[in-house]
Amino acid sequence: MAAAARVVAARRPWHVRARRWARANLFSSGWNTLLTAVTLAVGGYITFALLRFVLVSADWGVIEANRRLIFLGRFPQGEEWRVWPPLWAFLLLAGASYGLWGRLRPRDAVVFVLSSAFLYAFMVEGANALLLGIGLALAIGTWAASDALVRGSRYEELAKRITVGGWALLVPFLLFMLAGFGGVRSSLWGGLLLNVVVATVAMEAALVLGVLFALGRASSLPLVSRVSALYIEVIRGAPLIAWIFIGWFVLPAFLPPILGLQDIGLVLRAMLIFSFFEGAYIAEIVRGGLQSVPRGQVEAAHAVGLGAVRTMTLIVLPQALRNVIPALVGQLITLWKDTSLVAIIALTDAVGAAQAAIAQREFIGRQAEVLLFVAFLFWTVAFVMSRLSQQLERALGVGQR
Amino acid sequence: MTSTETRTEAADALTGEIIVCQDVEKWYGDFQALRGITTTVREGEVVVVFGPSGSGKSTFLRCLNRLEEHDAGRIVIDGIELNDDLRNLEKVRSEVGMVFQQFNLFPHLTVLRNIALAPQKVRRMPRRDAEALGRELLERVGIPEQADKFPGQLSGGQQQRVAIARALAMRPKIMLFDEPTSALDPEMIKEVLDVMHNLAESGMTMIVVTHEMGFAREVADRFLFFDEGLIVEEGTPEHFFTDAREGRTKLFLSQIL
Amino acid sequence: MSTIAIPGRAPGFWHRRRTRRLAIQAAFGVLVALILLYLLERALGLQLGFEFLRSRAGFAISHQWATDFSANNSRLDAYLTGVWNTVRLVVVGLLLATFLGVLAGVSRLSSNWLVAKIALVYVEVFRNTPLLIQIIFWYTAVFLRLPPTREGIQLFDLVFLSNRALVIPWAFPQDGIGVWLIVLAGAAVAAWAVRRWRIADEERTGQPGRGNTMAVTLFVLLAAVSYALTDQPLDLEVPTVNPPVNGSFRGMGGGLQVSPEFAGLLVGLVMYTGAFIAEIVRGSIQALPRGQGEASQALGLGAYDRMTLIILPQALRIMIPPLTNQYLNLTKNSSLAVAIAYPELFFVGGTIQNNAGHAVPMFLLIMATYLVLSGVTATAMNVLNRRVQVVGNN
Repeated sequence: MAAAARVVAARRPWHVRARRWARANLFSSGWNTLLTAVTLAVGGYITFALLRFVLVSADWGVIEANRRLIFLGRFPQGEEWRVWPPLWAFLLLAGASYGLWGRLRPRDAVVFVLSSAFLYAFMVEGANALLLGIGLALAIGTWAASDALVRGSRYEELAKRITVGGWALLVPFLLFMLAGFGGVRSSLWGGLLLNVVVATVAMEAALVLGVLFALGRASSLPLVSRVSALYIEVIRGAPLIAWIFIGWFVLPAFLPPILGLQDIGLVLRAMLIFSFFEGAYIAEIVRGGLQSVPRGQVEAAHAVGLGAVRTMTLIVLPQALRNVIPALVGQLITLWKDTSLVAIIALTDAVGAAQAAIAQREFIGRQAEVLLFVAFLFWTVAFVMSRLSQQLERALGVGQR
Repeated sequence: MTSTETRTEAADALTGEIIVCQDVEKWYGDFQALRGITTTVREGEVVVVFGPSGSGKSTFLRCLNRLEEHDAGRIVIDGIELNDDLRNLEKVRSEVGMVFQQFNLFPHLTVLRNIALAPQKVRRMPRRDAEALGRELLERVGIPEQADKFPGQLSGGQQQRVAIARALAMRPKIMLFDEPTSALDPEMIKEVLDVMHNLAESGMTMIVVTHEMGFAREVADRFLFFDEGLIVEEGTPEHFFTDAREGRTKLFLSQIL
Repeated sequence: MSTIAIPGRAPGFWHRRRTRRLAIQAAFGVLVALILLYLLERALGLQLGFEFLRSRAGFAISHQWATDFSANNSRLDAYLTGVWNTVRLVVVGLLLATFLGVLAGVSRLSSNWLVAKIALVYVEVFRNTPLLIQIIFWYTAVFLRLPPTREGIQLFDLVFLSNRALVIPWAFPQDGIGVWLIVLAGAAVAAWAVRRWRIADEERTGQPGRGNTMAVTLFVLLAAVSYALTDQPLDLEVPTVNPPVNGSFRGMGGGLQVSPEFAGLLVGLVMYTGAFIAEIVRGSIQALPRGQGEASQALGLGAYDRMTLIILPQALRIMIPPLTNQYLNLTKNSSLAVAIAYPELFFVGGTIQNNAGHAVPMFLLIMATYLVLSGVTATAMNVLNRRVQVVGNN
């Protein structure tokens, strides 16, 4: 067949493809060429100005001097060791998870190496360098072990269960390390550590509360559904900062005078407020997920003899949550960013630390450096969360039936 | 002498080649979907295209009205070459009607508006005329009573018949059908095929991607069998059902019949 | 006739569905009632009246709009001034955020690679950074870092930038404005009528009616002519810088002065909310089946008709509910003003609460105000939503 010879027609050479690509994507018409030129000028200028600031005109000494303040706040000297074991545990679990569920992509490896290099070049020194090294070694070690040895072996299921259990225990472990055996009072927790603690505790509590209130609102019992709906709407009606102020000024008067409850610290109150506030938003997301599960699923579950509770927990809820992963993670990212609001009630979280650093006499006029750095810290975590959610979405096949 | 020539030319025009494809290639990144398609379609001819999924038959159809741009080779529709010239594109699009597997009716417009929209906006037809045309076409596809409903209120078969009417409203010279019955329940397939049958008998040039071989055998003048981006075999329906030459063709036919 | 014996018996009282449901609800109701009773009992021990709002405020408010407030006015007046400051901020913010969001969202889908990537970077950077940091950054690291008034920057004689105020050109209404506004209303009606006529004509003849172009042209023409005839009802001012007196202070006048607080808050809210709106716009357009665009292409509809007749009417229906959510978020997020002391309702309410106590009634009032603001926004958006559905269905 004459056409058969064409089957092996070679790929076009790269410069032909590059030219075609540029013509299709940058200069497809006169209008597009103009657009490209204008965007290039504006974007180029902004990139240049930003790079010049970061590399030339900025004075990063203010970050160096206040690194401890930004990361730990007013955490007592000599107690920093409490932070390392939870961090190691986190890195260990992250390595194991990547090995068990992930697939090594060159891009991930590059990001890992670059961020480690960044940490070593600018963030840690002395003993901390060694301690961080232990953590990174743990991460690589568990990744290599679980990827090469455990995955595909008969221990894979067991290892996955242990890892999931480890993640569930991570937050309690963190709290225990901070406060246990003659630990540090919560009023002294600070910096990015405080954001992490408040965020992780509130995330777990808000997810539980959110599912409960969503089930309540979707309940066929009118009283339960009305009360849940009222709670959700009232909470969502006012801004978070108003609720935080209420936790600050009003809450103590409403707590019972037993067990020293009235004296609970600001940090604990912030955790409570965040949990109940974000719980209301999560409830609305979960409710949307519940509505997205086809009625046939409930009918099929009843048909095989499952009761109401099991139908909900085994059939409906898993599908509902799977369907709303993007929105759910979006809300958790919002929660993470919102923890910065504790700076307004005079807690020294990362933003509070930034404000304190800006106020220092020797660093007057260094607002941009400090704020950009702290913004970068928040952004990194939020960005990683959103990427993880995309991977999770793909792995669970959301949007595919 | 001169008069004979004129007559021959007229005869040529009568049975003239309305679609000419020459070595058409299409790439998606590194994947080559069409590997050199060469074929012609005469006016009034009904061509049925079939082949396994991923064989390039839909891509071929979509290149014919430039929903996809071919990367190499030439396509000439009714004397107009498909290239970067936007004016050509406009002309070709209004001469080639297309019916999709998923109907693609506009859900926010009534059935009648779905049909009348393009004649009004592209053909610059007065609204009253466009809607009269719409009602006439609905009559022709057998659902005049559905004019003021929304697509969502119709059955799949009715929706596909509206889609055919919508394409016909532009008075095309050529109709392309991309698996028009694949998304339909069995009992609705016949009503759509009947409409297409009538259309073929009225002398419309049609290219139909379908696996409804009974229908294909009745209406088609010619079959094209696609596999891996190539026309593997081509011929009359009788040829395919009695002495298909290629092994791939025989295998595929035995699977779908 | 034989009867068939049915084995078993009717369910006992506790096994009936109705009983179960009633019992669960009763238990739940008692629990909720107990909590409410407890809260009420606690609240009764606190100051609950609103009389304190009648007393003299005793503090000044740096920003005022539509009110005339001094420290001698009541606390209620102070609070209302704060409410107006919120309204002003939110209205301007919503308009700008929508504009930016639509621009960025459409850019994300642009066939121009560079434009699409820049829009992507904008969205990813501003969406994933805390709004509080952004606001503080714009305020302290940008607007407060501008040079002092006497060294202020003047751009093209149109904008004046300094750390005391940004001055932009503005048109101030003059005495004759009433007449002109009436003429404008008339012009709007005329333009609307012309548009209707052109559309009817297009439908009759099939020829392009150019209804929108003609209506806009007519309106602009009428507005310009009447503006000239009514003796300039608007006073157009550009910022002016007074000549230095003894080489020291240069005062500034003319134009609209925007404080760094307002500017910082506005830019922060707009950039942040715009990123979210961009994602909504992109998602709504992408949510449409590909076939919609392809079918309109196959019919020969041009790019403009395709966008205005097929894509946008459908995308708008998907867009409006999440867009409403973002509008509500912007309204609530305006309370972050408290971090940079822009006196909107939450800041003023907090100040009153600080001075006078009465935390419970004060916070109830604040929450009620936000509920009203959210209610107004949501209602307006619901009306729009219903209209879009109707427009979509004609």
